Amino acid sequence: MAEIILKDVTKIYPNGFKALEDFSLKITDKEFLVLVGPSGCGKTTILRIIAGLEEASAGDVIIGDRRVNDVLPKDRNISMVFQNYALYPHMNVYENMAFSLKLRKIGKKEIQEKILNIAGILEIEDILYKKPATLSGGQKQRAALGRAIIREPDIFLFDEPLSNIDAKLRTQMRIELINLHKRLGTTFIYVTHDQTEAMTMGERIAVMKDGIIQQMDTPENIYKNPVNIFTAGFIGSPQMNFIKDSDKNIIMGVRPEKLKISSVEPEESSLSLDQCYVEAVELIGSEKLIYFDCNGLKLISKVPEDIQTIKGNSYKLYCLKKDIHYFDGEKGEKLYYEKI
Amino acid sequence: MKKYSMMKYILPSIFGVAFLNLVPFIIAQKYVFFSSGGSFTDIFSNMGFIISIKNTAVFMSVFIPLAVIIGFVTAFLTEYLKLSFWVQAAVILPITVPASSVSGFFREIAASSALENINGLFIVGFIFLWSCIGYTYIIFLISLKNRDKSIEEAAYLDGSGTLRTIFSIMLPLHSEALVLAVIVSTYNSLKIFRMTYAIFGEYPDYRMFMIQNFLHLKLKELSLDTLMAGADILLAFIFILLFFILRSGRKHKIKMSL
Amino acid sequence: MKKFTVKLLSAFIIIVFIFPILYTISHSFMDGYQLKNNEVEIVPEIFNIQQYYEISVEKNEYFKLYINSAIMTAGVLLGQMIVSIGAAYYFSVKKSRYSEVLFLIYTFFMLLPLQITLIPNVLLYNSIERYLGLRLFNTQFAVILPGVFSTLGVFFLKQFFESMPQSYYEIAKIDGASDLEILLHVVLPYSKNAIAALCLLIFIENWNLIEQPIIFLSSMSKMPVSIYLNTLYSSYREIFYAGSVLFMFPVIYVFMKIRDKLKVMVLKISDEGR
Repeated sequence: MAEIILKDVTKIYPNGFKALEDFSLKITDKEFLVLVGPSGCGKTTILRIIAGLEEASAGDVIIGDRRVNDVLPKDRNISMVFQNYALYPHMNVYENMAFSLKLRKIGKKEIQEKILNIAGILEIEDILYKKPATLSGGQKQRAALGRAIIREPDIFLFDEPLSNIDAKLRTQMRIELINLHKRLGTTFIYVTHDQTEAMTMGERIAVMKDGIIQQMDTPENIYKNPVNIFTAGFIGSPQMNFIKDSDKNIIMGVRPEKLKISSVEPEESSLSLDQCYVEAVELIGSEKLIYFDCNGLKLISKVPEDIQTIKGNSYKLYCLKKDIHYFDGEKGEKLYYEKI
Repeated sequence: MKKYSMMKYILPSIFGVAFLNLVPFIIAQKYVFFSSGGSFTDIFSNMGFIISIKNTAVFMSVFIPLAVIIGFVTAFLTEYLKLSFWVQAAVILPITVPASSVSGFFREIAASSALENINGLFIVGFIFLWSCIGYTYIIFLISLKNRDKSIEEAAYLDGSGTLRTIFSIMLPLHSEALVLAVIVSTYNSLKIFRMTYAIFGEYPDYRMFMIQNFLHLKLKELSLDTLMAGADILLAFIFILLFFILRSGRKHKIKMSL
Repeated sequence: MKKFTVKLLSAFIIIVFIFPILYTISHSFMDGYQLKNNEVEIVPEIFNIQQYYEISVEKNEYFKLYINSAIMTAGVLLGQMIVSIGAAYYFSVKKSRYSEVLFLIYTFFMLLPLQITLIPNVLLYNSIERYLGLRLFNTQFAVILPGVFSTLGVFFLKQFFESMPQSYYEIAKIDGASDLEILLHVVLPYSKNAIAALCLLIFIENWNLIEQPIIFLSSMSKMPVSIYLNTLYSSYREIFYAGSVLFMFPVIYVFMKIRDKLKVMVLKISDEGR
């Protein structure tokens, strides 16, 4: 049982910086939760408090059904994968993985069995006797994973593990991590600042800003129904288009793929914009991003790649009413149709 | 001709080193190898020489490790307990203080009745530690400040206690600092003459009579045979020591595949 | 509870290391009567600055010798800077088999104790006197000369010059700068802090000269304070302490001033190393 509950946790650093205040979070057993947000939002702090690497200034940290605030990290049955791998440089991969087992006084034979088993799963048999300095980023990350897995913890913590890996390998490793989660069946808590990573990997995502969870839900729900401007702008690439309506003090949000170029005026009532000049066009594979300037307002439209436009020409843009998100002009909260 | 344009920068230095040190030293070897006596056999029968070697050996084997260990422990504590700037300044300050200035204090300590029975060598050792721990302290402090903390956190999560983490994980990673600390401490141990002179004069008690004292006296009276023999022996020793230290440092680097 | 132990530990460390200095300072304010008392005392009974007066007015040979120390230290400092910068520049730029071997020799020399390096110096001076009729003994020049060519400066600066990113050097070359211009306008400004640190080291080392003056100088009037102070202890103990304080003051003062520059230098080394 590895359900994690943070209850009214506050964390104040010695220099006075308040990272978290009365923060509460419940993580279900065996789920893959992603904490995502900009730097300084508190996501890494939460991870480290769960791990026991940092102490909560106030509040309860509960794992399973016991309060672990005073429990040492090694007794919490937790493993962590660090951003810079943190492999022991003077030991080879085999010894890195064996270290924690040796500390538990597990026999040589059993250690060897476990390591070879995991090496097979992670496909690192051929680098087992190499030292970290001779490995590539991807290999190091796998070795770090191996070291984390071998302790058979109930909970895996990931602190931006893929940020030092090049883009192509990153996509591949994301898939491997998802498969690993299914295979191991343990809780995964994953911290990242990359919203694409969050969207593709998490069963649930918690979007954070300034120590507060803005929204916690499945990726799909967050994408379709962001509850405030921050979440709407943070999730989704390219970013949602925002159009201010100063008279009514509301901000309208339209996803780029919902912003269409009109040749024919549609019949249902919708938002439409005239005099939009094409500034630039980016081809991203099977789709195009077209950058518009509409009387000073900068908008992006995502269209299929076969749509042709001419740079410098003006077009009319429209969007269906049901695809518009309305946000309060001051507080940024989502508004619903009834209020408009 | 372009190849040699850089030479002019090093010429003064080479001249100085060659004529002040190298050339005279090589020429002086004649006193050792072509003297009538067999100076090497002579010197080993010289009581003063034997005593000085014994004392130097004891001194170096006890106090150099101590200087390195205490320097490391203090730096470690400073880093981990986040000790204040005043602590750091206090530890480093003694290296700037001239031997003569504090000789008054140490003379009175040495003369005080409480310490009559303590071997003079240990008094000198204590003074050595006081004046030189600042160096090893700085070396380890810099090395500690530049380390990757997440490796220790990983060890901590793996279940390693503090002591075990220090010995199995941290020390191997600071091996360069360790080598440097040993070299610097060895260098300083050979300069202890200044402190000894300031406190005990040119003719210290036999228990603290070290090889520098021996060579110094021989130089003053210009007995070149014994002097050069002794110098050659010391030189060979330093050469061998340096060789071993650098080699173990290199072997360690290979071990870490750095 | 933990904070208290930490404070206690800090206080302990500070006292152990500063005590000899504090002792010397406090004794400099004690009068002759209290000092003749052979017991170990810490606090002066009467706060007395008469010693400082005595040393400046009556026994003013102290200050003459202070100037000796200053001259010798400044001489070595200046000389070593010029010689070492050039040599370090050479080593950091020229990378050949020959220069590497030479550098190894330099490193070896750096570690030799004074007792060994003084021997060839003495022999050289003797030969010069014999063949050129030039008497170098009992001159301050004799003391300064070996110090100027000490290889410590070369070692230290070479490491630092090498840590400078190669691109600075290459840009200057493309701009058409000569070796000398690169040295003066690129390398030296970059190494400001390391040079300051080296100056401090040389200063400490030479302010505290003992072996060389004993061997090379015979008349007391040419001696530096480091030697003179020892003679004072037995004869005029009161002003010994005042003299000690005055003697250690410059080094401590310079150290405190340079402290920030040293911090910057340390950070620079660690950044380039990543």
